[in-house]
Amino acid sequence: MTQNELIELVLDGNQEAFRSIVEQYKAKIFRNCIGFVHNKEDAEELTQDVFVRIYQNLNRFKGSSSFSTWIYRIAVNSSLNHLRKQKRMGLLLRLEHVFGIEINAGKNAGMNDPESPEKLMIDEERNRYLHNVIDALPENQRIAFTLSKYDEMSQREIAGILNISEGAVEALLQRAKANLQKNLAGLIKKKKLAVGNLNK
Amino acid sequence: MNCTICEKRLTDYLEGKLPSYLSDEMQNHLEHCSQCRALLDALRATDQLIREERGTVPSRDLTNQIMNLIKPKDKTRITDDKFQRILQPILVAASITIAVLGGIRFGNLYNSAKTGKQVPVELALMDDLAMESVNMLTQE
Repeated sequence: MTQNELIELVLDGNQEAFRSIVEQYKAKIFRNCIGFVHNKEDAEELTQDVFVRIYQNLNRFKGSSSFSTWIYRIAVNSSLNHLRKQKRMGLLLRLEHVFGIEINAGKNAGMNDPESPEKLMIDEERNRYLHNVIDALPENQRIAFTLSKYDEMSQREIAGILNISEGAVEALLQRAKANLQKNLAGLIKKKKLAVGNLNK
Repeated sequence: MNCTICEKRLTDYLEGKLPSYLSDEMQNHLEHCSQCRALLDALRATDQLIREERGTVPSRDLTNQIMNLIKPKDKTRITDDKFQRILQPILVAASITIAVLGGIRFGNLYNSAKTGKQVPVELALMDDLAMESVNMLTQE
């Protein structure tokens, strides 16, 4: 059955047809969402939200882009809305993350034991800082970066979703990488990310 | 090689995009510079974190959870959509037409009452006042 036939069936009220669409895209959408929210629970919730929006707006899909592109646009918009909401609500939490516990090399005993609580705590803190660095990217760079790194999309596919040229996508990705590196360097200088303590 | 040049080429070095002679120079600098090495480690750690997150698998029940979310609203919503697309414009147009025609009709009645236009004799029986006199005549 073709994609358009499935869509028509869903519009006629066939639930099972929508189940097929969910099965086909859920892993991809989940991966995209986790790239924005960085944890499984939030990513699942967001994925649910994306599919509800897809279902509600299916009659608006006119086929001017591919179905996959249309779905990814909804996913990206939902993720950005989610982050904006989170930003408004969790300012204090974010401040706590930014000014939270620092990571220092060699400070903790048992650090080389991968199972030790100290090591786990350090990993967690380090991941939090790395997430902050990714999250600090300007919105367009963040979208391009996530679609490239998490969804492993080509520049052409990203260009289709963002409705910009491939050259513009390349520029966004270059700037994203440069900003990421700059922010990481800043953290290292502030001793938030310790030398020799980054690799697992 | 100094740190500024090393930092500029770090991403390409990590992605294996540099020619071998530059790659060797980078390696040489990285062995002696802890700051650049820390930055390289940070970039590697970021890549590793992304790989781990990308490998996360959603719950098996996710499809059912999604289907449960859309189930209660299913048919009504689609009917609503059809209603919105087809019936609603027709009903709006019909309401406007009725309102306009009603306005014209009431306007005409108001005007005729205001100007006190005489009812022709042949239509007098259709007039309420005239009807009253007819009834009185028949009762007699």
